Amino acid sequence: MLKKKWVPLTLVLVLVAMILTACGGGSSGQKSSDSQGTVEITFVNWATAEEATKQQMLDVIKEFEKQNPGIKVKNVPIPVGEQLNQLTIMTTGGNAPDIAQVHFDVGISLAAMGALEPNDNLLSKEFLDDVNKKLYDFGMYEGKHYLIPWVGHPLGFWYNKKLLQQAGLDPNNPPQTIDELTKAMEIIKQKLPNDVVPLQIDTTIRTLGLSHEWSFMSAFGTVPVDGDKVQANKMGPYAEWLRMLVQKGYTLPGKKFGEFRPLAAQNRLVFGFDGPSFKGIVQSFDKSITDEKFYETWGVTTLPVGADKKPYSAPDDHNLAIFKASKHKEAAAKFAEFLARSDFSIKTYVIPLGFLPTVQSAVQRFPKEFSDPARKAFIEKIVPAEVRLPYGPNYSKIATVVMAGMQEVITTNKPIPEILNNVQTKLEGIINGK
Amino acid sequence: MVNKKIGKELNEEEGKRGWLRLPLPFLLVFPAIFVLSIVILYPLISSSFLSLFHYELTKPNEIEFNLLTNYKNMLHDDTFWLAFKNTLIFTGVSVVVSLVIGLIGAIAIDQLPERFAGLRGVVLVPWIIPGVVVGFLFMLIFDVEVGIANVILKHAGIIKEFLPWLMDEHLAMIAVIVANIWNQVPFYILMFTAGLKAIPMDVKEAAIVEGASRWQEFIHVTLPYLRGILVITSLLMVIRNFNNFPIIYTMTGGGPVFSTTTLVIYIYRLAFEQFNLGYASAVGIVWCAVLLIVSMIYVKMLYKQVHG
Repeated sequence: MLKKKWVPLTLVLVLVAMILTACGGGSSGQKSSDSQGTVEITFVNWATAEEATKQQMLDVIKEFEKQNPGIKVKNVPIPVGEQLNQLTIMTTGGNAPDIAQVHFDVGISLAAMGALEPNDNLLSKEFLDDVNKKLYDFGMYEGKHYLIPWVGHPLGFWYNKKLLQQAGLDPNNPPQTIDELTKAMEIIKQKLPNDVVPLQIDTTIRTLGLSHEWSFMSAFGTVPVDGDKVQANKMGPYAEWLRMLVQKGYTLPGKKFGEFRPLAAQNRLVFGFDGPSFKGIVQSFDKSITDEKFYETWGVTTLPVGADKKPYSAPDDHNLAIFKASKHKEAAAKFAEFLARSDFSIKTYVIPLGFLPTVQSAVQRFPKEFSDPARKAFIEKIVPAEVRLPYGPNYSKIATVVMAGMQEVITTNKPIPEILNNVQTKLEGIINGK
Repeated sequence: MVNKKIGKELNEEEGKRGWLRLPLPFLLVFPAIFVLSIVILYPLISSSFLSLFHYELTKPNEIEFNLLTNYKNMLHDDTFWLAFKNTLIFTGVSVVVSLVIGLIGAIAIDQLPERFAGLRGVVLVPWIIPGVVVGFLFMLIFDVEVGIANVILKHAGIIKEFLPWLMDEHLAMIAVIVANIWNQVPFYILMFTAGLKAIPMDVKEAAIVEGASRWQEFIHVTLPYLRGILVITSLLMVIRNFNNFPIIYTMTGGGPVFSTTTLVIYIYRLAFEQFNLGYASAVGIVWCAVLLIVSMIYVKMLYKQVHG
């Protein structure tokens, strides 16, 4: 009788033990130090999530581990578009990585949450003396520095010389103004096949969407938020232009800017607005495109200007953030410096993929590699045109409201003033903390 | 002294036996209750608590208890009401259309000769495909440039130009509903097929003998026998569709604008894109309340079916 009664109790205890074991099993995956003094740092990134950059990044990680036997890097790939969500979930769930690849907007948002460690005291003097000051300053939040510049990726105006020539336009003289751009697209639409897309522009409701459109907005003279000043209701000219782009088929609505890249590889995109990695990515889609062939087709310059005659470029640069919860911040900082400054990383990752270095000495160390036409244009013209967006605790909300408004512009026939007034009201509420 | 010792031992033994006398069902359900309390009850209580605060992740120094302000703000939140409306449309259309197609499909399969039994397994394929995969599949199908939907419709003369399905505020909802229906019709087919098999042959034969037409047989014999399954299954799918995240998020992200944003999409955006945890929790509580009502109806119907 006793044995019979013990059976269910034993069964229950076994089940509970199994559950507790399963719940506690996650701890084995957490970063740790082994008995030989080796530390493991978790590196969340999209470089190893994208086919075009995966192998190069893995090679760099492997080399870092080889040069630093006491540090192991646990690689965690995530899609670039999910960095904000993934890192937020990881952080709030108590599973923050040690270091992560982030864009400025994501990094500053994480800093505002208190998730990141200020890194001024973690970086070496050599690195601080060498890093690009402009990009370094972009990573500041409330007087502290949180983002370590890794690779430069400002957005530049790529133009397809072959398609321009086919359309009867000067292949070596791309549009210099927004008006010229609009006129060129009109001609392109008339002269070239329907499957050719004139312009790459991101119209998604994402922070990346706002980052991509910010430069165009700036060219029209008014951005939705400037400090504490909300001026969405003055963006009528830009909104009208955006609606026209879609109505006349000058761009594909609702596409992420990355989704235009395959079209570029297929020689179906005329004007791209993308970073220096555009070349490497296009070549990854079509292996037959050599450097020579690429430059025969593509040139790059600053975005066409508006009335103020100033070019603008939104920073799509890639940064590295060290998390406050990290127990190995020094190791993470060492890894960050290796990624951004080491010869191996620059030769293996930065140069082949078309990125820009964020340390000034790189050009001196690799003068030949950084003298190609595209990179020269980026370094000499486009980087100086970079402007900081209103990164901060409200940036995600701002992006959602603005881009929802822009989507409303291109997907409905609502009067644009009505749409912009609605955006204005919502933005004022955000800025004023309502 | 000896008697006291014996008495004490007997009491201890009785105590042990008393513990062992706990009802067996309770012991067996304890693990499930334990798990549920961790993965459901705690988050629910935590969310309820958070919903009473102004709590934004990006402003950790501005956390403020605001009682029911989040719920009050919800009343004036156009996006919330749009999401609620979208959820009702998405759920309602998906369930009704899936039910009809599923019933037709089940009847058709039930008529198949035995040698086509393998076809029943094939029919279930869409149901076992993960929602994210379904989303990607239909995102390609409805792509404005290369989507097969546009190609077929244009070739058939139904449309003159390729339609931007996923970027039109009216067409986008149609697209995600179509994807969802494709994904869940097999479930209805499975359930109705089982229900059809359970209809007594003598009842069917009696109807035939009495001269009932096919339609009359369906109305007076088949449908009454399937009523219970129809109700239970539909309620279950209402709950499922209220929670459907992967298909919508993968295909449209809730866009264009917010035309395909359902409550679950809205909560996700509020929490993990805008970091407004307090308000997101409040919306989540309302969402849970609605689901709880539907679930109670479901349980009641299930109980009634089981006990007659």
